[in-house]
Order: sequence, then C-alpha cells, then structure tokens
Amino acid sequence: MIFNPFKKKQKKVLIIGLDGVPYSLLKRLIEKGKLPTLKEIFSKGNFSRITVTIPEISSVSWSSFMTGKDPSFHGIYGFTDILPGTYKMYFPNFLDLKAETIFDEIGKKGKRSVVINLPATYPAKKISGVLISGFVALRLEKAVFPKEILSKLKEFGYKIDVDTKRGKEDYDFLMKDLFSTLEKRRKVALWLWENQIWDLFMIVITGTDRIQHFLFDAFLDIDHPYSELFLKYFQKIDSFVAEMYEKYKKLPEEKTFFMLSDHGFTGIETEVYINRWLYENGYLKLSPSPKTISDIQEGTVAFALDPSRIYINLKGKFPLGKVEKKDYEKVREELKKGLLEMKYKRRSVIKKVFFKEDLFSGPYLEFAPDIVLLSNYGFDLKASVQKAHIFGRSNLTGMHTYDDAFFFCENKEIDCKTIFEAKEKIEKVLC
Amino acid sequence: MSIIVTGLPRSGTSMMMRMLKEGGIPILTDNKRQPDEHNPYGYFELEKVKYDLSWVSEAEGKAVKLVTMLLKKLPSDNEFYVIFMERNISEIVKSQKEMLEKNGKKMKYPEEELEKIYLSHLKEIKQWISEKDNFKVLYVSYNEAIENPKKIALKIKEFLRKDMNIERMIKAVDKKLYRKKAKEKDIEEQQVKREDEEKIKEQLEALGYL
Repeated sequence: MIFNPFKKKQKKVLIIGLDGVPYSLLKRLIEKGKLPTLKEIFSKGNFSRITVTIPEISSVSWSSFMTGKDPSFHGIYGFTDILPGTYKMYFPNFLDLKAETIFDEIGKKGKRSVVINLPATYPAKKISGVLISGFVALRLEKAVFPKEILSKLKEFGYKIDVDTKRGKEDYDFLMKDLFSTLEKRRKVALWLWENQIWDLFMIVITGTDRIQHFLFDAFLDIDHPYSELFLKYFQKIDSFVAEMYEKYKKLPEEKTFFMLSDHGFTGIETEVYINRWLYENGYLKLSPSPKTISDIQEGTVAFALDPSRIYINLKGKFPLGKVEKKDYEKVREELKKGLLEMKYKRRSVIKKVFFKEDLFSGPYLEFAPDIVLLSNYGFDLKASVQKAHIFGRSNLTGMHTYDDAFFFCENKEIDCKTIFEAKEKIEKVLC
Repeated sequence: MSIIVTGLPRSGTSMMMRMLKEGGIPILTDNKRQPDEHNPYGYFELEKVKYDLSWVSEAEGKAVKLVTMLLKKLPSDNEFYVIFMERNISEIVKSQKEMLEKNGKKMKYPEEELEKIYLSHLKEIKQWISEKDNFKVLYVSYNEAIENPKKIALKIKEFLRKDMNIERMIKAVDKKLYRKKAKEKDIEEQQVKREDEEKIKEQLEALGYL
C-alpha cells in the first residue's frame, strides 16, 4: 500500500460482490461447514436476505446498487431496450446510466475507488480512482480507466468474463475457464490493493452467476457429475474472501467490510416464453419466422422484452401502435388477469403482475415497461419471439430470483432489506 | 511585423497556414516536411524555429508556424501578430494518437494525462501572452474555421489589416477532405459498433436472454 501522508483520519470500505449468489445457498453451504471463511466472517456481523430490483437481472440490479435508485431514476431497465418510437432494440450501457453513482459521489468528497468487474459499467468512464468494467464488457481497451493500467492487466492475462458461448456446450471447459478467470481477477485485485491509493475497494465475482445458470442442478443434486466442482468453485470463492479479508484486517484505518449479491438463483422447472403467450392469446402479431421484436406486425396489442417486461403497443407511442390511450388501463387489466391465470402442470406461473407505477416513480418513467412480471420459483421468464410453444427448456438449469439475494456487513448495526439501501449505508460509513 | 500561426500539434495550424498563403500572405517555410495522409496539402513548417532565432529577421511580413511550446522563445523587441488555433483537447490528443500509431509509434503519456498536461500548458501560455505588449492575438476555433471559413477569413483580414483574397482563403479550407476523414472514421466506428453488438448478442444469448 502506498503511504499517503496527506490523509488524516481515513476510513476504508471493502465490498465483495458475488453476482447472483442466493442467501439460501450460502446459508446451506455454511451450515454444512463447506465455507469456513464465510461462516466465521458472517458470524461476526449482519448476514441477511435482501430483495433486489424487478426485473431481477444484473444490469438493473447493480445499476440500482451503485445509484441507490430504481430504474426509473437511472434509466437501465434491462440488458436490452428499444429506441423510443421504434421497435428497434439496443443494448443500454454505462453511458446510458442517468443517475450519479456512489463512486461519483464519494469522488466529489475526495475519496478514491477501485472497482473491479462491476456489471453494467462498460464502457469504463472516468472515476476518481480505477474502474475495470464488468459484464457486458467487450473490449478490454474500453473497459479500463485509467488507460495506464491496461498494459498491466494484459500482463496478468486478465479476462473480463468466461466464454459462455463455448462454456454452455462444454462444462469441462466452463469449469476450467471459471477457475482461471477467477485466478486472474484475484491477481489483479491484489495488485491494485497494493498499488493504488483507495478509500473504497470493490470487486465483483461474476463466475458465481455463470456457474448457476448452467449448473444449478449440480448444487441441487449431489450425484450430479459436476456437483463436486460446483462446490469447489464456491470454496475457491471462500478462499478468495479469506485472502482479501486478511489483507483488510491489516489495514490500520477505520474500516468496514460489506458483501452482497444482486439477485438470487433457483432451479428451473420450465422456461416461459412471454411473447409466445401473447401471440397465442392474440395480443402479438409477428411476421413469419420472426427473429426479433422488430418483426412485429400490425394489430399487436402488447409485446415483451427480456426477461419479463411487457409494453402496450400504444397509438402515438409506437409506429404500429394499436391501443388507444382510453383503452390502456383496460388492456393492462385484461393482460394481468390472463397472465395470472397462466398455469404449468397446475401451478401458477406468475406470482405477481406489476404495473409500472407500482414499481417506478422517477423522471424516466416514460421509458419503463407498462407491465413487469414476477414469476413463481421455477418459471424462468423469457421474451424470445422464435419459440413455437409457451413452455420449453434450454441447457440453462438456474434462474434468477428477486427475494433471495444477500447482504452482509461486518458492523451488526448496519442492515439492509433491499439492494437500493446499500449505497447510502456504504456512503455513511465512508464519508 | 511577423505573423505567427500557433497552436498545439494537430490543432489546425497547417490549415491556417494554407489559408494565409492562399489569402496572399508570404509564408516562411523550408518545405522539408512533405505532405502526407494526415496533411495532404503540406505542413508549412520551418525546422530551424526549434533551434534558434535566426529566422526572426527573415519572417518580417511573413507567416511562420510555431507550436505553442516555442512561443516563449520569441524576442520581446519584435512585434508579432499571433493566430492561435484552438481545438477540443480530446480531439487533438486523439488525432495525435492516430497519427503516431499510423507511424508505428506510441504516445509518451496516457490520453487523460496528456489532456491534463496540455490544458495546463495552454492556460499558462495564454496568461503569458496576455502579459506581452509585443503580441497581438487572434484566437481561432479549428471547427469554426471548417464550418464557416468565410467568417474566419474575414476575421483574419480584419486582424491583420491586410488586403487578402477571401475567396481563395475560403477554398483553402477543404471541407471535403475533413468530411472524407470524418466519414471514414464514421464507417470504421459503425463497423466496430456492429461487431460489438454481435458480441453482446452472443453473450446475452448464451445466458438465455434474447
């Protein structure tokens, strides 16, 4: 650590993010004695279950973590969105984030951050400190601020993410890639820890999300061929936390340690294709062999974007708008009723149907989906327009959950119930 | 009286020299640096400005190109009309980077750091100029010169109080060249954008989105 003689009473914060790690999974592995470090650390502080954003996906949730706000304030509603007044899809990124982040805010107070692999921070923007962007980050050159650390990252062989395209077909490769990516991230984290002046140090492990997407069944079933490796990966994370925590404990300054996840995971019973449901129920018209939502046809009442966002095809808002403003509420109510009645093997698929005003109230409310769905556990909502049936399966075995993320603070007095509260709590101890 | 065209490298000084030349102002250059893809109409440089002041007497009534870093070397007993080219600092640094990279070289400093260094230098040199009685200065925006060369040509004419060929000065600003460069850059950027979008799709599809 470089000694900075000009700082007076310093406070430091270490945050370790475990993307998609459920409270229930950690609790179970800790109770079984599989994660000794987390068991010890969590016993000293406040380890609790939190809820996250709806939709419960990383780009939205982490954006809400870093801004402390819901999507109608920060503008990120999903990994995809449509350009206003069109059906043309685009991929919102860090430049589309419309609210100030914790790193901006503490930067104004003279605090420096080191942020590694935080999803939804690509392309890297200038912060007071260092930022290495996380998913979806494509080019390392654009994922790093300041640029001067790029050569060092290349030297470490730093990888932004695992190769999921190959990994989903080849689990041996996936596991190898997960371990090696984590190892490189670890090395970079240790190097930055020693060579940067910082007040807030944050690293997010995203491999935890990837492994659960493809191998959640290996967690549920101890006879699964990858069950042991699944556990080993989480034990590797436990060792990584141990290493970081040891370094953290040696800091002479006043300090606080946080951990959290951005959503939980559970097993998939079936995928549910919302656009197919809309199509079969006469709400969505598509051209033959549609590829994306831009293949929408006249007569469409509503359409969906991943994973669970429904837009009413309003006249005046969309080019092929059909629904008159006066019918808006009626259509939403009708969809709500129909969606709540959707069943799979006698089980209700949809747990709750939210209208946008139930969830959002910010200045970017006009870009919000009109309806957002929350499914019951096991029903993984998707918006593909290419499916021939409402229900089906892919090679994914894990799906995100809204109410089973976790939060930990070493200080027992600091508690969180939702991901939105974390920013304020962290700022409070830091500034 | 001599005319000094100054600015940071890649701030449009060569373009201004060409405007002055076309406008009828004699140029003091050794033509050693030949035109290339970055400056197809030439650089209009005089190498010895870097080493001594022997050129000052030759520059009487003429225009000379001088980077801002050399301004302080100018003698205080001569009068200078300074045309100071200004351009967005990020554009300057990017343009310098591109030029170096195309020549197989690397920048000495990271972009952000270089921007800071330049901004600080410009602040300091402008302050220095403002305290000099023998300098008369006209600040010219590079982008404005491209967008509205007539307005800039007339400003220069008024500043230098010389009879100048405004039509030729306007023509000296090859909008097509700048637009062509911008278009090429745009095509390149669009290509990168398309590739990136495909990669994002791949990554999202692998995780079950789209």
